[in-house]
Amino acid sequence: MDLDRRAFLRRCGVMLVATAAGKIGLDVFTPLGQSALAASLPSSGPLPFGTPILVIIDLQGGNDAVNMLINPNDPWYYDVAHGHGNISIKQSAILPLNGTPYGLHPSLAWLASRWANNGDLAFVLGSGENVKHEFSHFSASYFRSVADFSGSEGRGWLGRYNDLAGPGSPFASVSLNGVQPSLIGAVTPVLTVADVASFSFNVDYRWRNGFLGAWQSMGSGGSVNGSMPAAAAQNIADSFATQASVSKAANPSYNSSFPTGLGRQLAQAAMLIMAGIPSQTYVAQLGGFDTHGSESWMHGDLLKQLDAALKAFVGVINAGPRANDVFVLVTSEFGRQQTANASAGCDHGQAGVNILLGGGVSGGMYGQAPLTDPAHRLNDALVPTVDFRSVYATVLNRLAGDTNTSAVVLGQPFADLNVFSGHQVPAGGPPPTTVPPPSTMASGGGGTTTTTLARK
Amino acid sequence: MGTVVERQVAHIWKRLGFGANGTDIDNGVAAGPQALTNDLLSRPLTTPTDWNFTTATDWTAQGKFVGQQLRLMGFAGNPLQERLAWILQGLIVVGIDGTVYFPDARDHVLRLRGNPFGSYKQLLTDVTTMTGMMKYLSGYQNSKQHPNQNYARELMELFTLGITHPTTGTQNYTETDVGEVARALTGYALNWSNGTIFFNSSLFDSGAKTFLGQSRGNAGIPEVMNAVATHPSWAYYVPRRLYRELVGLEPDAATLGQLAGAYGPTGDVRAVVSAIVNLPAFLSDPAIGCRAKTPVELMVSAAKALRFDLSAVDYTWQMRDLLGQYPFLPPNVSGWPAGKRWLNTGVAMTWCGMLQDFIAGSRNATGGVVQQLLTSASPATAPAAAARMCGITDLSPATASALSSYASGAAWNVDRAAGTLALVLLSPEFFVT
Repeated sequence: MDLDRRAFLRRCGVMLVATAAGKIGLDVFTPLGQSALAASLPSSGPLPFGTPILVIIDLQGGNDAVNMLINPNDPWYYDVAHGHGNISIKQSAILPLNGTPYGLHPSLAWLASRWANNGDLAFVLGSGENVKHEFSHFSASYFRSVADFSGSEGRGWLGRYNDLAGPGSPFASVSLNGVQPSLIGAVTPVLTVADVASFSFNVDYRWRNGFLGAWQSMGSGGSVNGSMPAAAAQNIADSFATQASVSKAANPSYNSSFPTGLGRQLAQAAMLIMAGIPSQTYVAQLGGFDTHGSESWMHGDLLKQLDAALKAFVGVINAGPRANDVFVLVTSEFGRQQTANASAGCDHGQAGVNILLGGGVSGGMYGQAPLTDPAHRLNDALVPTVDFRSVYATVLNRLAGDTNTSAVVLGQPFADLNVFSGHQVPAGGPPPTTVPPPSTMASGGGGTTTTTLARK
Repeated sequence: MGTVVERQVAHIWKRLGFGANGTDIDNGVAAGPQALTNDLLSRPLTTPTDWNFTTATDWTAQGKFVGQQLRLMGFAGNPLQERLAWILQGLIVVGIDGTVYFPDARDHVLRLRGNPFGSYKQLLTDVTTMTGMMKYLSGYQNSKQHPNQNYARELMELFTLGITHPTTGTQNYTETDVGEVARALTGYALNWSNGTIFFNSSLFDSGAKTFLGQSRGNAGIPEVMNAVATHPSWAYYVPRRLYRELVGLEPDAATLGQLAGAYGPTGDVRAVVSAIVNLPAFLSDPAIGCRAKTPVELMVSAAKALRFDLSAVDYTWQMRDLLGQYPFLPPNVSGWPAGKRWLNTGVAMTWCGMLQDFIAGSRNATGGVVQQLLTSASPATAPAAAARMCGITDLSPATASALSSYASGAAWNVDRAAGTLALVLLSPEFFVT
């Protein structure tokens, strides 16, 4: 039944969502594990200074990481028959990353300058999963969100963290675009905030007298673990609790100074962070990365949005008191295939690249570049060299301040990538890449290199 | 407390349509649940003439179309047809994106609406070569020279089979199958000048294919459809989806087997729906109120209760950006999610604001629901009366108490009646179905 449930949840679009049926709802999620971390997060503000805060940007659809963090010296990159060919970025347009063989897509001008001038930009090469080698958006997104391959986990990895760090706190988990599945916990609700400034209840003045008080009292007796009506009642109670605090965080100037789209989401995050809302976990999303066709302009435009949004966000955070606390993780469900298709795009792949940026991040290249030659690909996809759960462990260790919590949340220990190890980056850029040249890399990098897909 | 029959009648209307008003409950109680179910199962199909959709394709057309669709969900002559068409719209998904234009998605929806009770296999065959699906899942880009697996994969994973067999857990297809099915689906091209799909034999891979366990010869679309429709998971996948949608619970193995028999190789949707709604589980207490309403269900059920015309105002922005559910913009090819995720602060807050408009419209309507409540009820009887008008037969103590204190909190006049109805539409009971 576990697989059935997962299949159903996946088909429902986000894979972790409790369904209407109690049997497969929140109440059967695995019990909370033991952790050194016990409810460290306050259930009301302000968040103490020095508390690490994570902002995830999920690039939905499968980001073509090969065209984001580009290695123009890779002989396969420009190859027309087996590489990116007509969707590759010409070398003269690539923005160099000093000290590395890599460069950035020309849309990422701000990130390139960040690399040159600050030491807080890191890339994790070869990030992906070798457990299922999932090529479906829905399955891959599910696995990335739950960070579990048993098929029985219904909570997101950040939901599990918040169930430990801020159990039941209506603020712990902030979703900036719908309900992001990685945040879904067993006892911690997801707070969705689309617009801080208008985060209030509007009632017609003619019947307003006594209205909101009556509505709020309908939330008494609610329970997130009870029946669906009880959950609906609890949502009313939670909505009133959060409304009062969130609406005070409004800073309209961000709405005008940040770009639209993803920038709008990050503007809301910036308001809440600056106001001290007691959340360590924010998730934003930028869709459209499923570039099966017309990649050149679509991907370039999306990366430009990412770059502009990060610029605005980091600009505000860096000028505030939580500059050393806030960091960003950019993820996607998978990378894309190496060989461009006939539609001037490329199809679903495997290994991708994570970006880590901000407070506590020691800039540099982490992980290991996957082998790019066709013989070492998996259905033309790069074979991951770094389990994405290692990236999560690195992040969780930072959030929790210990290494025990990540093992509990992820069900087993995963290596910390030392992105937050605190080593100083020399002026003028990070140290030379820690990535060995492709010719010296161990074959396989931790996964099968046959062309047989293990999809299930 | 409502009676068992009242509760069941309201439930039937919510699951086989999009909600009940007081009149629906009165009539249903008089006829009985079985007669109501039979009535909803046997109503004649409505046709495009009845639907009266806009034929415009300008920038306002999409909003007008959606508004009319929401109106029809509440008020069309065949509520179950509306419900099934909406279920199918979230199952055989085509969304407007950079490639799929409004007329393409509109034609797809019109085909789904035409006869959602019919053969699922035929329906799928039809939409496979329509422009909407051809664009949405890259079918027109799938050629002998450059295979594209997008539609082949989703056809099996999301539209017909699922990844694994529901009882044995066996993998339904391999990556090789995806590739071979994709080859069989080649040959279709898009005429960009008029948006039509045409067959071009030079793009079709006429070689021998082997998929889903058999050599399929020079297979094309018919052979693909025959192969999936005789696959061991075919008769489980869509019936299970329909059961989950209509009952809200998980079917056991025996029930799945029963539904599979009704579904058969043609995919007889009417037979499956008829079987489901006649199962004891459909009217069982665990099924009643066990689902959270989606935003579309919130809007349509409220509009039905208030006799509010959702085609009169364009709610595109609220639906798309605040509530997170807009008919032509599914989040992805697997459609809209179900479950508790719709119970969140953002939806509660947006819904509170939107329904002020609905109520204001009703307040001013002569003989409308607000006026009816004002004249037929007192502050003491208003909570139960207002709830019944909105299809709710049972109130929790907390909700009843809140409504009572509000209704008696000021002079009983048109605004107090309006506010009482608005509170019912914000109650926990109204957020579930």
